[in-house]
Amino acid sequence: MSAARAGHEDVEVLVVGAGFAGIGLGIRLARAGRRSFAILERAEEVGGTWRDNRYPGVACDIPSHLYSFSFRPKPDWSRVFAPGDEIREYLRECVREEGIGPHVRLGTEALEARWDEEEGRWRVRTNRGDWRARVLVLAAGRLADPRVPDLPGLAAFPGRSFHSARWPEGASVAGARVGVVGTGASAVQLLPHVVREAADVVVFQRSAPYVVPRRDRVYSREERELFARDPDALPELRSRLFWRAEEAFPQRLGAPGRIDALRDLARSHLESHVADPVLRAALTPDYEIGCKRVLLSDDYYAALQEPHVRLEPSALERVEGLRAIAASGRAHELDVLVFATGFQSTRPPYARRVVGRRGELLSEHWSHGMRAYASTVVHGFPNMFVLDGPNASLGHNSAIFMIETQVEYVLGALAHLDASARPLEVSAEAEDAYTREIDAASADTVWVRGGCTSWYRDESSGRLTLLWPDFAYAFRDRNGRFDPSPFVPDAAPVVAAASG
Amino acid sequence: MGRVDVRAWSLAVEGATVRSTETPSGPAEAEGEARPAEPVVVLLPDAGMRAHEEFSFLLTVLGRRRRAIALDVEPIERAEEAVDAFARLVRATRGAIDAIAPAAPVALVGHGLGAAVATAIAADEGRVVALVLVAGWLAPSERTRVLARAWTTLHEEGSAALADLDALLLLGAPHLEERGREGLSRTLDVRARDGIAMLGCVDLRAAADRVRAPALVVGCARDAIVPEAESRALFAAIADSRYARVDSGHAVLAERPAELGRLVEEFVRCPEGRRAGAVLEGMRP
Repeated sequence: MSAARAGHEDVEVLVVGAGFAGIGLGIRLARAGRRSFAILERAEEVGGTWRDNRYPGVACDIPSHLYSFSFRPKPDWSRVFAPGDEIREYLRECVREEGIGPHVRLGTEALEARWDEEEGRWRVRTNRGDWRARVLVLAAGRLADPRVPDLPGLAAFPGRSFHSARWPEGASVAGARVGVVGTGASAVQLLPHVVREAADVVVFQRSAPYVVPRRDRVYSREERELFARDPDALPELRSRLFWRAEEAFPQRLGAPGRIDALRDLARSHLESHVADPVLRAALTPDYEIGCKRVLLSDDYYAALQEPHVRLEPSALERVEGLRAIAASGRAHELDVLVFATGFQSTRPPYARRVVGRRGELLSEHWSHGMRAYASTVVHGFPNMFVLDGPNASLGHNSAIFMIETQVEYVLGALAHLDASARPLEVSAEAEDAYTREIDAASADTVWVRGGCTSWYRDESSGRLTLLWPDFAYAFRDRNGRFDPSPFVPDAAPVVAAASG
Repeated sequence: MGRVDVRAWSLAVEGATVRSTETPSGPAEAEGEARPAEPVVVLLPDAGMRAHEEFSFLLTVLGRRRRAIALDVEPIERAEEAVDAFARLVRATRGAIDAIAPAAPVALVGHGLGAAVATAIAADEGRVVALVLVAGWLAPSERTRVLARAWTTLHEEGSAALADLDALLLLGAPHLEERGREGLSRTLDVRARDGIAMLGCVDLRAAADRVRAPALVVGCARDAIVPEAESRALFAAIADSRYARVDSGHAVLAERPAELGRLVEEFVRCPEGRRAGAVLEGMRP
């Protein structure tokens, strides 16, 4: 796996993160017969966002037969949208059955990764020893680091307080007065469960989400058996699910008819579930549909209307003792605060730990927002690949399709590196041109024009940096195959690099 | 929003009324980036379909990068014989294209009957630079003759069963099961009947032989109106053509609009990108 030498372990490929991306790459590396790789995972368990998010009701919003590896289908998904623990178990099973467990180093956090110009290698410092690798793959995810608002008085809150992705094992809110902060994808999933247990619930809503019917169902025994027996059944289903999801993209372009139909669906869902005109008005979004993530739920509106539940249609602003005070001025006395407030997606903390050529920090390179050629490689950071980073997410289709596309790109680059001693560094021009392309393609999308703020866009520059602004298939057609031409022709180690 | 807004208007062409729906021209690419002249894409609908409905998805996709027009052409005088009616439809469609996009290079995209019209136009029209034939046929088979006869008989009898039968013919079983008639837009009027009649008698062998433009033939694996084999025959008959298969019924624009959009977009951008005679592999998501 790795050769220990002079106080560090040596591998060809070092992957940071054992979530969907890291595990997917690990499987493909192992299947390709590559043995010299390691996957660093700071937690004590694999699974990425599915390991972290264990709040009651957690489930996927993309059909499971699409939200799983194409090269490791699972015929027996229990339902269309599998619950979180089933996805977590799927990932564990992937690691186990593909034999990549020995490559995974749990409890190992990459503290700093630094490009060593002379050696043409990455030097990675962790809490458990140092590593040297020819290739560094950042697969640290975008739903990895919770974002909790820095509210006055929160630190002194005498009750319990936690982020949805840090739900304490077995924690119950039975009989408690609970504040749920946020109304995004996690909030609409956990609220119905919280409402069932808690004595009193307040939902702090900064802006109302669009919610459409979930249309979930269990797969029957015969269906699961057919998926297992008929080799054509699953690929056909997966294709149908994929192409159906793709149909949603023109909505994001604001295509007349398409976006109206989606908005009508959300409005009629709201109207059929919420009769009270005041509550309905408070739950009506003030921006165009699709600008923020469109949520799937059949029980969110019902939960909000339970007698012991109140909607606070303003943000939580500060905390005074047990009193949570909203921007409206209203105060709510609470025992538990659940922050369903999302993640540090557009400004990933890992970027502050990666140092490229000429001592440049990745976070500096990304000071106007994340950017990368082919959404994967960054000028100044040779032999480095970012999975699920800049413009590699989707608002309408499966993240796994994107990850598999990037994994394919990395495998192509590795094959290229097999035949070349030179490090691969993409040219600044190629990265600039790609970024201009992304900006131009974003310009007519609802994410930029829809009149909302969202975690899809960089806060300071306003650029769409998280999402790929096109069909998912276009991402694969554009970025699915490694092409050496946009790379710096002679990226041989520069010994006497000028320093400023 | 912006570039994908569609406009619609009607105009009178010699012997026909034409309704066109189009996206404004103009590339969505970064400013200053040179882009070779793109053809105007003209979309021709199937029998009984309204072009702006049938192609609403493709208009958005294709119109993002170039001018795209969906055309409804209705000859004013009806012909007794379906073969004559087809000839009129072809003439009127050519006239409409001349009126709307004079002298420009044109990419013709037709579905079903629209594919037959596109094949006939491309046989004699030099400015067709790309031809996409979706669920098109080469020559009537015994099956399509029987189907056309049964369909038109039910239509003439005013049968209440026709709508159900038509949905069964148009949609693949998985779509019907999972999504019902979602996306289906055929109007069972006299235009539809005339179009179905053409399916049973229009022979395109001579036309296909004359087509010189690069062509993409798309066959639908579950097509119960134009069986895939007939699309494959069309692929074989056109000199410079490639073939792609979509897992869908005849109404592929209702069932798999995005997959078709990908095929058409890529082909229109670079018609010679895949060699003549190639059978394209579908994407495996």
